Amino acid sequence: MILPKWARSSAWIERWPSEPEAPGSNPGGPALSLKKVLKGACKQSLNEMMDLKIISYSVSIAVSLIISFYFIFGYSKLKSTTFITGFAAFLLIALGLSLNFYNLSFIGYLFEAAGFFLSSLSHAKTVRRYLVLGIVPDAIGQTLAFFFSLYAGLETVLFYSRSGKKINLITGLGFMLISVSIFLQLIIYLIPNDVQLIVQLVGYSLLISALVR
Amino acid sequence: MRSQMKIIVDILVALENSENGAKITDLVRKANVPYVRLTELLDELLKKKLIESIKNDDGNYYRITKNGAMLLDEYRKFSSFAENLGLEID
Repeated sequence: MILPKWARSSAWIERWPSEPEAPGSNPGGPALSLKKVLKGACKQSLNEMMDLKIISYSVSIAVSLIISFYFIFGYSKLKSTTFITGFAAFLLIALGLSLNFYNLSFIGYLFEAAGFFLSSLSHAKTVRRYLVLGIVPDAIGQTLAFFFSLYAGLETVLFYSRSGKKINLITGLGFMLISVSIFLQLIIYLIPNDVQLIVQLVGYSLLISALVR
Repeated sequence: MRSQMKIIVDILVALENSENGAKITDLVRKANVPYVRLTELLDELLKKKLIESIKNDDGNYYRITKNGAMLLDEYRKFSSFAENLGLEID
């Protein structure tokens, strides 16, 4: 075999390229392409990932793809827009999930968000119905209340670590329990729930302790 | 409000439950569709061979065809899948 000029030195023999070279590169090296960059990023990402993470993402992608193709199968049979929307939604979700293998999780989340948004469009009618009933504004209020009470609780507990006053810990826990009670109310909406009421009672009772001294 | 697909399915279900076919007046009640709208839909279903029309001494009867029964099966299969994901078929 006749070696090219640059490869005649023994130092270069080691790096005999196994792939086509980029034209005009000096010294010669393998040509880069987006596919190769992604492949490299994927390999690096896979090395960094835990086995559990790989399994979890692989299963999630497989499930999303199966659902997506089941939707398109349904569309071919029934010609309903619900199915074509579902197909696009789960394909976007699968694409978003697969971007995690390329260290592009941020863009992946955007794809996933787009997919879930598309999927939620099918629920729009139900949401409208709930809007009329005034449940959604209620839920928004509860969600805000949940976050702010949780925030207040965390702030107060963190303040306890500086002040060392037990009362801060108690009231902080009170705020947190209130947020838990609101959360329970949110997830089991309209259903009277004793647990939620008890948690709420305990939470507010703890807040009362702030008035004791 | 029911979607067009749901109305068609209700008509097919009503026909499936009537062994000897159903008259248009029965279908108005069973599928809960106004008469004018129902006649339009029945024409469409006849064209697509999902139902068939039989003339008796009593009048015109409609019956579900094999294709119609197959469509109903597919609908049940896929609608249960969609419903499991919390979706309503349009």
